[in-house]
Amino acid sequence: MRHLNMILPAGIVLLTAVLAGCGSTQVINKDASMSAISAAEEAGASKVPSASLYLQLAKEELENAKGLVSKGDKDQAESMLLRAQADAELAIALSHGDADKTEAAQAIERVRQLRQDNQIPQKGISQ
Amino acid sequence: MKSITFLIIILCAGLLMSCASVPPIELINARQAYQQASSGPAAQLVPADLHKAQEALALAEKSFQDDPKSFHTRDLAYIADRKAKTAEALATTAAGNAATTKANKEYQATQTEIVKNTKEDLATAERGSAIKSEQLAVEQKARLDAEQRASDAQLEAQRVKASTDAEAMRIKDSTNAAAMKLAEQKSRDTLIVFEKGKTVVLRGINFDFNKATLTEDSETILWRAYNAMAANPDVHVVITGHTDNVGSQKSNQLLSLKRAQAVRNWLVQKGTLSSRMRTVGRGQNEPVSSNDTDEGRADNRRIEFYVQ
Repeated sequence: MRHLNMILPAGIVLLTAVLAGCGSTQVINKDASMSAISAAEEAGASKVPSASLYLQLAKEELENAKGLVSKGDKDQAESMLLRAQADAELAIALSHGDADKTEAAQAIERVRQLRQDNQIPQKGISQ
Repeated sequence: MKSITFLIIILCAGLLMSCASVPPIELINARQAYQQASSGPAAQLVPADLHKAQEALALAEKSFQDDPKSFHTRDLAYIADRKAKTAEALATTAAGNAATTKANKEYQATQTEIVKNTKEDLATAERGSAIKSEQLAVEQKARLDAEQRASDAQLEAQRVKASTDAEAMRIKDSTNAAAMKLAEQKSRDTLIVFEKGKTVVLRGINFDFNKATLTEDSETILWRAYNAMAANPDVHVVITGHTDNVGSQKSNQLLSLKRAQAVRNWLVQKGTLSSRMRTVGRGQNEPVSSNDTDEGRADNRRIEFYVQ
């Protein structure tokens, strides 16, 4: 009985370790990809034509990764998640680029208008 | 047979090797994307991101070397492609930010320039206004001076005219006086002809009303009488006074006598011997005209010289 009391906790610990080990083989880190996708959505990627394509690809790749996980193909799933993250980051960059480009164009237009209104010769303004 | 088999084996090996050396489309795209990004502004604006793309491409290339057909190679190449594009997009963003910053600075510089130009324009306008005010003041002063000169000239003209008029008047008066004097002298010099036994009526000898005082205008005719007396030193005369019928008979008698005496006294004062003259008063008794009219009464008031 005394042996049973000593063996039971050890068994539980062993079982937990085994279950944990089995579980870890099926768990992948989707946080980075999902965070990147969320950031791209917040950056307005869906409204920017050049960025929306990559956002859509990132989402599809995330779904693919989930499918691969469910199939037990962890390596390919993780690689697919990296793809998703890369697409999402590109979508973010394109979203910001589009906004900044618009802002730059507006700033340049303001300068041009100001000069025109005050009859000042235009200088070479380039974006 | 052996050589054919060897050739086939060589061909198959070569075919396999060529197949193995063909990179996947993802890697081709990654290489192109990196080439494009590195030749653009990314190298200068976002070198760190371009470096990440380069590292990702290197991993893909290594994977391609190690295991050309694996999904790892394709995925790494895909990621490298995306990182290169991301670097390019970030470079575009950085360029946009730089352009925005530059434009904003230029906007501020332009505003500063506008303010400066406005200040200069304002200063120029103020200077112009000051000059104009000064010109206006000068013009106003010139106008006032001209008006003053015109006023002075007008006053001078008026003064000259007045002086001229006065001189003309003085000359006229003088001329008139001279003419009158000449006429008087001429009248005075006109000799009264004395004939013995004749009576000369001297009209124009006047007296103050109801008195025996000679008026000044009587002197001309008196001088004529004096000259006649002087020209005829041997002549003796009877000076007779006459009046109109205004007043009483007695008073007119006395008044006519006194007036005859006044004439004689005047002649005596001028140098005529009193012994040559005798005076008589006839009063209103011997009228020569009607006493009903002013003219008639004037004719009746007279002095007569009767030459003896």
